[in-house]
Amino acid sequence: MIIREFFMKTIIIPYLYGSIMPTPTLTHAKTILSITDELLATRLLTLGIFPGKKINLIRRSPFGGSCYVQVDQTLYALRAEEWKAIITDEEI
Amino acid sequence: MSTMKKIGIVGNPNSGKSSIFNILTGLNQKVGNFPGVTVDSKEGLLELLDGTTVNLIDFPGAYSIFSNSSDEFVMTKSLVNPNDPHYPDAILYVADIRNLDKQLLLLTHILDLEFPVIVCLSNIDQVNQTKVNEWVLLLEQKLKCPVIPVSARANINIDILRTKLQGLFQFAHIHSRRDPIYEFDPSLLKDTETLDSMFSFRNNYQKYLWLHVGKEITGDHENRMYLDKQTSIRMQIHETMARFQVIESWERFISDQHHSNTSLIKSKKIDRVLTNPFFGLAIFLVLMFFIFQVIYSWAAIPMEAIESGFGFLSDNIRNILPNHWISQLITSGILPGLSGVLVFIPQIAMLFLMLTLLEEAGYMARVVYLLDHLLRKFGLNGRSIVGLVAGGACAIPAIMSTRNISNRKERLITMFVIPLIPCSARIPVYTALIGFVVPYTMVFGIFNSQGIAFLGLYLLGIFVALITAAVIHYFLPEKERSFLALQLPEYQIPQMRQVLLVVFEKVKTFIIQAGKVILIISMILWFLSSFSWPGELKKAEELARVESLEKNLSEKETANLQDAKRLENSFAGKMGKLFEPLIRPLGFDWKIGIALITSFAAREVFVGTMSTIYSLGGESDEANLHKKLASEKRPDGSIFFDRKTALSLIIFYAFSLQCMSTLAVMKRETKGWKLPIIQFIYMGILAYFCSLMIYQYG
Repeated sequence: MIIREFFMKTIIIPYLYGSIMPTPTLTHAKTILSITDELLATRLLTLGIFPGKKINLIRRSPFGGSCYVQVDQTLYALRAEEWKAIITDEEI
Repeated sequence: MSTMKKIGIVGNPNSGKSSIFNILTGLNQKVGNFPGVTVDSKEGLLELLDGTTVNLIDFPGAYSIFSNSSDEFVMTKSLVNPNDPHYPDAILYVADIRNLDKQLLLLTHILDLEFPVIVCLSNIDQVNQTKVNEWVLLLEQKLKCPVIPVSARANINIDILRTKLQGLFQFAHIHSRRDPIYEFDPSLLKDTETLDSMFSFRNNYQKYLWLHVGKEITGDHENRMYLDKQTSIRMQIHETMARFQVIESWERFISDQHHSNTSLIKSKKIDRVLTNPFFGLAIFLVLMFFIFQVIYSWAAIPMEAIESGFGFLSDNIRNILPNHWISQLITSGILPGLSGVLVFIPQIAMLFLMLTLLEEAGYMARVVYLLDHLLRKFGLNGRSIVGLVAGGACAIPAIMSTRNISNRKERLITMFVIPLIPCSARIPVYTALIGFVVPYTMVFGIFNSQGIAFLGLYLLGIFVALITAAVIHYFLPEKERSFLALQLPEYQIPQMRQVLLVVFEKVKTFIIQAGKVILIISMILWFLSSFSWPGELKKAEELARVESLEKNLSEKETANLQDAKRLENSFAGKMGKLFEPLIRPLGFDWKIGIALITSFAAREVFVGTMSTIYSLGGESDEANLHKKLASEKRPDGSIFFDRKTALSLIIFYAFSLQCMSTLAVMKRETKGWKLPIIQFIYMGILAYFCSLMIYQYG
C-alpha cells in the first residue's frame, strides 16, 4: 500500500497533471489571498500576479519541478517554491 | 551628440519594443554599453519630418519602474536620475495589445514622472479592430496622451507614429501635464531639500523614486535620507497594488477583455504537447539534434567556399607581390586570420537563425520552463539553456547570450562552463585525430563508429560542464535570490525581418569581438613562426637543402621540407621545444607543442600548423594530415600516433581553453580579467590532468 501511494504521489499524479487529463477538469482557478515572501511578491506583482487575481495551476514539469500557471489571460512559469509562497483561498 | 534630443523606448519584455525600434531606425543603429552593467544599449538615429534627427534609445524591457534585475535597473536609473547620460527628453511607450492589462503598470509610472509620452499599441494585426478602437479611445481619454495602434509586422500606422513623434517635442508641455495616478505619502519627502540642489527633478514623484533607488545609484548606503530596504519593499507593494486597482477600473470599459482570446487557447493547446512532462523534453532533444545536423551539413558548403576562396586569394597575392616580409604578412598572417574569422560565420548565423526563430515563436520560454528544475541542481538557471546550446557552435555568442540571466551567480556559472561545450572549431581537430582512436566501422549497419565517437565527445563536454557547474555552485556563496517567475508569451509566427536583424547583430558582434582578437593573434603567430634569431633560418634552409639532395626529393617536397625546418627553428618552434618537457608526460612532442601555441588564434589552426610542420605544405586538409601522422614514428621506432597519444590530444583539445577570443569576450562581459584567468587556469589544469591520466594509465 505504502509503495503504491508513493508511486502515485511521485510519478503517476505529476504525470497525469501534465499530460493525459484535459486541463479544466483537473484544476480550476483559485483566488490569491496573499504572497508570503515580500521580495518574491514585488517580483510577482510586476508580472501581474497579486492578491485578488485568479490563479490556475495547469501542469508541472516532471518530478515536482516548475509550475505552468495561468493568471487571467496570461501564462507563467513559476518555480515550485514560488508557487508554494502563493496562498490561495482553498488552502485556508 | 549631447544637444540631440533623446527619446527612450520603454515597455515590457516581449512587448514588440525592439520591432518598433528596428522599423524606425532600420540599420541606422549602434550598440554601445550602459555604464556599469553588461546589457548593451541600443541606440539609433531617427530623422523627423522637419529634418532634425533625434536619438532613439531602446531600453531593456521592464515590468515596473521598481526593477528586479540589473537589466531592468538600467531603465530605472536612466528615468529617475536627471543627470544620467541616457536620461530621455521624451518616452515612446510600447505595449502589446494582446495582454494590455499587464503592460499598463510601467506606463502609469512614466505618466506620473510627467515625461512627454506617446503610447504605441503593437501587434494590432493580431486582434480585431473593435477591440483596438475601444482601447485607443479609452486610453486617450484616461491617460491624456496620444495613443497610436501600430503593427511593425504589417507596417500599419508607422508613418503616423513618425508624425506624432515630431509633435512630441513641439507640444511637450501639453503632452506632459496630467494629474497623478498614484499619490504617495508626502511626509516621506521631508528633510530632503539637500537633493534639490544636486538634481533638478521633474517633479516630486521623481524625487520620491530617488529615495527608493538613489542608494543603489550613488552607492551611498550610509545616508539616512534614503528609504531602508524593508520600507522600500512595503511602499513598492502598496504603490503597485494601488496602480493595478486604477488599471482594473479602466478595464471595465473594455467589453471583450475576458472572452474570445483565441490565441491564448491555441497556445495552451500547443503547450499540452510541447510542455508535456515526458514528450516536452523528448521533443526538445530531437529538435536540438535536428538543428545541429542541419547546421553541420548546410554550413559545410559556404565554409568550404570561404576557405578555398581565401586559399585562392593568398596564392594569387603571393604570386603577384614580390617576396618580401610585408607580402608574407598579408598572405600568411592577415589573410588566414580573416579566413579564420569568416569561416565561422555560416555556422554562427545558422544557429542563431534557428534559436531566434524559436525564441520569437515563443518556444524558448517553454524550454526554460521545462529545464529550470534540472539545471537548478547544477547551479544554473533555466535561461542558461540558450547559452549551452549556442556553445555548440561558438562560445563567443553563447557567452553573450547569458545576459538575460538576472541572477549574477547563475550567470557567472553559465559563462564559466560554456567553453567546455564542444564548439565548431574543435571539429577539424577531432576529424584529423579520431581515426587513431576509433577505426571506421559500421555499427548496426547505419551508424558509423566515428560518428558515435563524435557524439560521445559532445556528451563528455556537456557532462564535464555540468559537473563543473555543480562544483562551483557548491563553493560559491549565494548573494542574491534567484527567481524563475517568467511570463510565457503566446505562440506567434516569427517576423522574418525581426529575426534577420537579430541574427545580423549577433554575427556583427562576433566579427567585431572575435575578429579583432583572431586577427591580432594571427599576426603575432605569423611573426613567431616566420622569424628567429638572425641567421638561424638561413642555416635551417641550408640544412633542408642538403637533406633533400641526399634523399633526392622533388622541388615541391624540398620546399615543404624547407618550410618545416624554418618553422622548427622559428620562435614558435623554439617555444614548442621549450614546452616539450612539460607536455612529454602527455605523449606530445615539440611539434604538437607548436600546434598548441598556434591554436590560441582558433583551435582549427591546429590542422594548418601540423600540416606545415610535417612538410605537407600549409594548405593540406584533415584527411592528408591523418595519413601523414599515421606514418610518424617515435625515436624508438614505435608508432607515434597510437591510440593513447591521439586520445590524450583529443581530450586536451576538448578541455583546455585555447581560444583568445573567448577570453577576450569573458573579460568584456565580466568587466575584468579575474574570471577569464581563473577559467583559463582551471580548464588548463583539467585538460592537462585528464590527458596525463589517459597517456600514463590509459
